[in-house]
Amino acid sequence: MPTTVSIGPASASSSCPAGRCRLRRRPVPDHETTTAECVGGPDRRRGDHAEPGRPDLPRHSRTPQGGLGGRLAPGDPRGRPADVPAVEARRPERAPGDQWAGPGRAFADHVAGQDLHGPPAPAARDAPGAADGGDRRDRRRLRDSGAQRGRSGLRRGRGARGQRASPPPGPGAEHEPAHRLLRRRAGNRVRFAVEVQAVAEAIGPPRVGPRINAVDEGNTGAIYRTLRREPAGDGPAYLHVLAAQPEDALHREIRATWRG
Amino acid sequence: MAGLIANPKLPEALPADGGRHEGERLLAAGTDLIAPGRAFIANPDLVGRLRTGAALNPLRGKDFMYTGGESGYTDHPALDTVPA
Repeated sequence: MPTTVSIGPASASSSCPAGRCRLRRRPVPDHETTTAECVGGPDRRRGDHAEPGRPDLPRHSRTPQGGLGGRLAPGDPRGRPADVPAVEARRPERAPGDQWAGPGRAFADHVAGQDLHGPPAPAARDAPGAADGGDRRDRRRLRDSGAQRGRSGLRRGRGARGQRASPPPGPGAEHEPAHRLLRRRAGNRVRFAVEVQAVAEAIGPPRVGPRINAVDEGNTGAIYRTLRREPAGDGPAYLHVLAAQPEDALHREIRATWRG
Repeated sequence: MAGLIANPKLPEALPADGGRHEGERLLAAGTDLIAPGRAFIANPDLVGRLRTGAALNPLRGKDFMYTGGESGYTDHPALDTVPA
């Protein structure tokens, strides 16, 4: 990717101000400046050849220490001294085939088969009698019922698998931003649970305590359904719930799964 | 083992007891730890006051959100500094 640099008046030096790279000059009309592109590589006219073993890159793409980024060679004086131990990630060992049972497991199960919108319509090839031409009969049935269900043969307001589809906003309806729409529909923040698990794996579960807020979000139970359904197990050290109410069913459910 | 920390749901106007009653209800329902917020802002010795049943400092509305300086941050009086 060439880097565009302005090198001042056309009469000025054509060398790249950040190094001694080969430049492609481009005069700017009606201006006294000249735009030049550093196209990389040594300027052989100036005798600036690439160093042996170094990629042919512009000098100003290097680090301030003169390196090219990336991993230093062992023993490089610019790197970590030998007497300073390296920082190692505290990712727990997991045996092959060992399935994790923390909060993210519910997400995996959800993706694997759970359906938030009810049971899906059976596929044509799975319908009874599919072995003896079920696909054809199913297509014919959908086609014949098209007058009632729309030209595509699908139920109005339903997706291809029978799930509920959101109706289009009516005329004059106020546009609702996506994040509010998600919140109103109690979007399952499975990403939150996955991130909590990732942090727990990185720094250790005893140092992690997620906090969920029933004040700002209102429908905490629906939003954090993953957290409230999953037992804590060996997961985070604690769960912090704001605006908790002891007689609330959500609080009792959380208490049952997050045992201290 | 994971614990459960909870903040009681309190009205906008902080109760005179600083939410102690609601907190004790949560503890009775199995919560492991209560985390008071606003009451701690107004009472630097909140634990001692709750233990002895002393009256709590009222929360000053203008200091609810810290805006810099000691006002509303470190100038709430403790029990041993209140003149009898």
